[in-house]
Amino acid sequence: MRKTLPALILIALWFPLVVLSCAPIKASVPVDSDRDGVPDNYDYRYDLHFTSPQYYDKCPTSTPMGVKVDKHGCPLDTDQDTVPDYLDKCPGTPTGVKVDKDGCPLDTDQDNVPDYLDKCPGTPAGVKVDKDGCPLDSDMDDVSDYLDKCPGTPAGVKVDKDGCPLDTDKDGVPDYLDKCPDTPPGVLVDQNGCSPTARIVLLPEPDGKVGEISVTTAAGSQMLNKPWEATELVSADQLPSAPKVMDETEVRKIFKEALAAQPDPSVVRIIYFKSGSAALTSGALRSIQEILEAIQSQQSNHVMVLGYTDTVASVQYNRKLSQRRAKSVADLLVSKGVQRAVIEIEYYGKEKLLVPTPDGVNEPRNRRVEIFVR
Amino acid sequence: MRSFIKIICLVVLVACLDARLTQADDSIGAIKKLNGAATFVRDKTELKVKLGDPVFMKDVLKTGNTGSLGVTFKDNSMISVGPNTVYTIDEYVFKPSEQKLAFVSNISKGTLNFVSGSLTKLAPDAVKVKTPEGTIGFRGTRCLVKVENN
Repeated sequence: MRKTLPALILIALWFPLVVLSCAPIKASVPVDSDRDGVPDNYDYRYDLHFTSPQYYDKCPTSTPMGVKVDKHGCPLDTDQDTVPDYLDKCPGTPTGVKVDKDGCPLDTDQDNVPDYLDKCPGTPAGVKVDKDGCPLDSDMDDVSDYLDKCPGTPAGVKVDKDGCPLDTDKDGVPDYLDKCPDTPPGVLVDQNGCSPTARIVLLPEPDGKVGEISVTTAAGSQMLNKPWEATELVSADQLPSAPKVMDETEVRKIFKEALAAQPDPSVVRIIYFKSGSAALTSGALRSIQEILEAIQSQQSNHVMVLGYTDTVASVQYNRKLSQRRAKSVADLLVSKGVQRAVIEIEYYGKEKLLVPTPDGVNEPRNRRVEIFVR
Repeated sequence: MRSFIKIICLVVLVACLDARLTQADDSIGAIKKLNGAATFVRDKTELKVKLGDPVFMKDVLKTGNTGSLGVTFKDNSMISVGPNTVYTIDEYVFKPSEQKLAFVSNISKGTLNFVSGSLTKLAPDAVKVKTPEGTIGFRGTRCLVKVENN
C-alpha cells in the first residue's frame, strides 16, 4: 500500500499536465483567403455547425473582392454561360447559347444578330441585315440588295440571279413589259418590246419643199409633214407610232438600193408654133436636140408627143391643127433616128390650155407641142 | 366577091393592128432601171424582168437578194424598189380626159421609194400604197416604205 500511493499521486499530478500540454484549440475564424464567406478547406475541427464537407470554397483564391458568390464560394453565374456575372457583359444569355469571353452570344458573321438568332449565318461583312440576320431585300425579289443589280423590281416580277427582271427574248424590254415576247435576235424594238413591221418616211422634194402623207391602220391615222419624218407600224390594230424626224444619213442607208434604182426624171421640152401653123421654127431645133440626147442616154422606149393650140378658131379646126403639130414633131424625131413605135402621139385641140384664156384669144404659149422622154 | 374579101381582110388587118395598139396602150409604165435579179408575176406565170420591159396593171414585181429596179408610170410617177421586195400594182388608171384616175399598189415586203406624179396632183385620194398593216395616202409627195418580213 505504501508503494502505490506515491504512484497514484504522481499520475494524479501528471494527468492534468498531460492534458494541459495538449495544444490548445485556437478558436480562430476558419481560413477564407478570398474573404467570400466560404471557408477554403474543410476541417472537422472548424465544422462547428456540422455542415457537409462539400460546402467548402471551390474557388478559394480566384474570387475578387466584393464579388457575390454562390454556396460553393464561386462567383455567381446567373445565366450559366460559364462567364461569371461580374465579367458577363451580356447577363441573361439564354440557356445553351455559346458565348464569347465577354459572356455575349457569338456573332460569327458580325452582322449584329447573334448566331443563335441568325437565320442567315455567313452574311458578308458590311451587308445590312434584317432582324433575322438576313441581308435586306427591299424589292422582295429574292435577290438580296447587296447582290441586286436591279433594285426596285416591281412586285411579283420574276428575276434572274442578278435580281433583274427576266428578258427571255433578250430584246432589252423585260418580259413583264414585252408585248411581243418572241422577237428574233438582233431586231430593234420599241418600248413595248415590239419591232415595227413597217416604217414610212416622208421625203422632201429636190427643192426642199415637202408635202404631206397619211398613214392609216384600223386604229386610226398619223400624218407626216416634215422632211425625213417617219412613223412605224406594229400591227393593224395599233395606231401608227408618233412621228419622229429621222436622221437623213440613216434613211439613205436603209433605203440605199431602192433610192439608187429611182428612174431618171422625164425630160420635158415644149416647142411653140406660129398661129395656124404646124411648121417647126429654128428655135425648136435646140429643144429637139436635147430631146434626142435624152432618148439616147436613157435608152428610152417611150416618148410622148402632145399637141395643143390656142383658143382662136373652132374646136374641129384646132383638133386637126394640134394633131398636125404633134405629127410634125414626131416625124422630125423619126427622121433623126428615133423608132416610130417608141413615140406616142396625143392631141388636145384647144383643151388643156397652158395659159387659161377665154375663147378666141391669141396666146402664143398655148400654141405648143409638149415632148416627154420616159 | 373579091372586093368583099378585100374589105374583110382590111377590117381584120385593122382589127389586128388595133389590138396591138390596145395592148401597148394597156401598159402603164416601163422598167427604167434594173440591177441584179428581178421577176414579174403576170397571169400566174413568172417572167424575168429586162430593162425597158412594159409594166401592166396587176403585175407583181419581185426582186431577189441583190436586185433593185425602178419603174416610171404614164403619169410620171415613179417607184423604185430594193432587194427582197414584193410590190404589186393593184390598180392603175390614167385617163384624165375621162376623169378616170387611180393608182393603188401594195408592198408586202422589202423597201419602196415612191415619187408622186400627175395622178397624185389630179386625184390625191385615188393614190394609195398599202402595207400589210396600214395604208399610205398622199398629198403630192414622195415617201419611202420599208416592210419587214416577220
